[in-house]
Amino acid sequence: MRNAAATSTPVEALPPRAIPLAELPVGASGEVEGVFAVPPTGQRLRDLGFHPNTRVRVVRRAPLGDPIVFELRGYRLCLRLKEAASIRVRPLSSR
Amino acid sequence: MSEVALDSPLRLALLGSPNSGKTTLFNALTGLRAKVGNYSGVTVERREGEIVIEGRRAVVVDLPGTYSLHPTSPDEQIVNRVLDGELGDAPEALIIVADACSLERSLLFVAQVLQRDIPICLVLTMTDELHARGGVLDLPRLERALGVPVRGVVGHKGLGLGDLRRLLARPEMWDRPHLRPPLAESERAPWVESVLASVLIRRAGPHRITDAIDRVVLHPIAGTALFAAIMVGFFQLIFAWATPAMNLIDSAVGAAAAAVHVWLPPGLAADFIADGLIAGIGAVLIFLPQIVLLFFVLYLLEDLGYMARAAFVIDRIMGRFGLEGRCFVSLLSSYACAVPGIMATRTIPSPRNRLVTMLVAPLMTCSARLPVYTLLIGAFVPATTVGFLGLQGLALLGLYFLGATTALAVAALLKHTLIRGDSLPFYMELPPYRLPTVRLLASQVWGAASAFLRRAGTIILAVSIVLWVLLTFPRAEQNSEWTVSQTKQFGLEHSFAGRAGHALEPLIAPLGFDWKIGVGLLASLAAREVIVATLAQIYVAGDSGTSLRQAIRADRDPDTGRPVFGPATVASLLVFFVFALQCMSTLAILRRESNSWRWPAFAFTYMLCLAYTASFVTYRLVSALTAA
Repeated sequence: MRNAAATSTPVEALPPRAIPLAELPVGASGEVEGVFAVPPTGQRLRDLGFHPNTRVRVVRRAPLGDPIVFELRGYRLCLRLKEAASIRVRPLSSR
Repeated sequence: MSEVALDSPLRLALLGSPNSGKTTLFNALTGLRAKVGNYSGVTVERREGEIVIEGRRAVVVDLPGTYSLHPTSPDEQIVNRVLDGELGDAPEALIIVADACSLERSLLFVAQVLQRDIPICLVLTMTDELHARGGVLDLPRLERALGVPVRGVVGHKGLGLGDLRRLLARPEMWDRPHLRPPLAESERAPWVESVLASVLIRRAGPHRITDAIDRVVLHPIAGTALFAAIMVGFFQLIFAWATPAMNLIDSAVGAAAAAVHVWLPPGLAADFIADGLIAGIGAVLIFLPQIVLLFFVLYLLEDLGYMARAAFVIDRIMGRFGLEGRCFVSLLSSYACAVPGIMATRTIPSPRNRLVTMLVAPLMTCSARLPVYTLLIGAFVPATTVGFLGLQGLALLGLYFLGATTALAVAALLKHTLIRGDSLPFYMELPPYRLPTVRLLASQVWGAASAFLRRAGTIILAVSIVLWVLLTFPRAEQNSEWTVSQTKQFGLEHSFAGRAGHALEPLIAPLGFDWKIGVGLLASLAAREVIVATLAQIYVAGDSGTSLRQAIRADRDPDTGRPVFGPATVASLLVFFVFALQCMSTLAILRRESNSWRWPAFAFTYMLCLAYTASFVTYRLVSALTAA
């Protein structure tokens, strides 16, 4: 799971496969493909900025692994793994 | 324009996300003249301030912080209802407040608000921070792109406020958008991109100070250690450092009561003023040092940006019990006193988590239980050691542990039953570290303290007086041969409360309590520690703890000749105090914070049931053990 971004990078020609945001490793970035959650949660995640094509970076995890801090749209937000798993992102190759 | 329209104040509403600098701007615009209240029927705070701009009166309403106008949370429902004029007069103009550094996010919200057909302006805060981080925004272009006035301010320094005030005086003159942003949610993000493409000349770089601090504060080891250190310090502050001020208030109230007895002729009037009225006012004031200190530190940590980090570190553990990181601080504060602890739940955005935290906070061992624990443990637990630990200390620790674990268990139970799940996910912004201004802190602390005095204070005072009446009437016959304390004892036993204690005896006998403990329990409804003073009166022991300790140890049942305070009774009474909600101040603050009598009634009932059952089981268990 941790290597999802790394394994998808060598295949330059194909667009990277979307993975749950929760599986993006710390330091990596991705582009939101969509939010797949029931209405109140999905609505709220979009209100917070998780619209398609939004760039998200994983800043760090809490000492106990959950929740996770993300950076998007010029601010930092933390979500639990559960909600972060409902957001699908296309990993961006670093640099 | 008619005369009437000129006379009625202009209504302006401030809209924006949490952390957008909305409250700082509100304070800068209105000074410290804000009126704080609640919207009817809900716990959402209502803040309004009246100002005069360019000779025109205006009321500025600070709406709750929201990320969206979709009515998914109670806060957003309130915002929508205020905008629609369902809660008082609808605002005549809207001021959207947004952090200049995260315009990319805020414009999603702006797109929603711009659908409304009233004058709107956008105020960008933290423009100094944007510049410091190398960001450049073209404000005139942003104005043209949105079609509404845009102003940049630095709220805490007052920069740009004069210009903003001039703008606010004439909303009728504001530009209205020729073309509204797209209505469909899926087109909103592309619209934001297109606006940003023309106005954002250079994106703000990373907040380097925040990054550097976070590397330590959120480090798995250093961050956890710092979290523990700050929480211990916080606990120490409200638990120990408030004590001198509380003692000062206590002795001042005592001196005032004594002065009344000196100056007024002995009788009902003097007794009422000294023991009813002044004692009641004292019961209110005694909380002020803790509330002021707690909220000072709480708001300081919150405004600095640490509170979100602390909640982030502890969230995983609180999540196990159906709560979230922000509930931790409130429960920790409740170790000192449930009143500030319950007030601290205001920082919890999820209404369900907030309610559950409020309902379990009184189970945390507050400082008012300490005098009771000290008396009973001191009198009945032998001062021996187990290994290198004192048995008395271990007993005390056990009681603290019992309260805390029960609080978490009840929280988990409530989240799985009555107050199930959450319609909203857990999310929390981690704002950059910022130094709050003294002015902002002062207004926040004053807001909390004055709300406590007005709302809870009045209830506490009223109940104190009622309890005084119950403990005083009907008046005992004077017998000139009795000493003062004998008169007091006789009066107490024959008062309404004393009779109620006797009437209560069949109910509390299964717990191992006699009528004297019954009177003590009734009196402790005012505040837990009152039972010590009441027992002292009943046992004619004066107020000194040691002699009361000896008196209760020596007391024997007139029928059986066995000690009234046997091991089973003492254990049962201690357990009763761990669980029961004998504290009118907590009930009053629960009423104030939940805006109904339903939740204090619920908390009182479930805690009483818990206390009764646990005491009964403890009494039986210890009786069986000691008999064997």
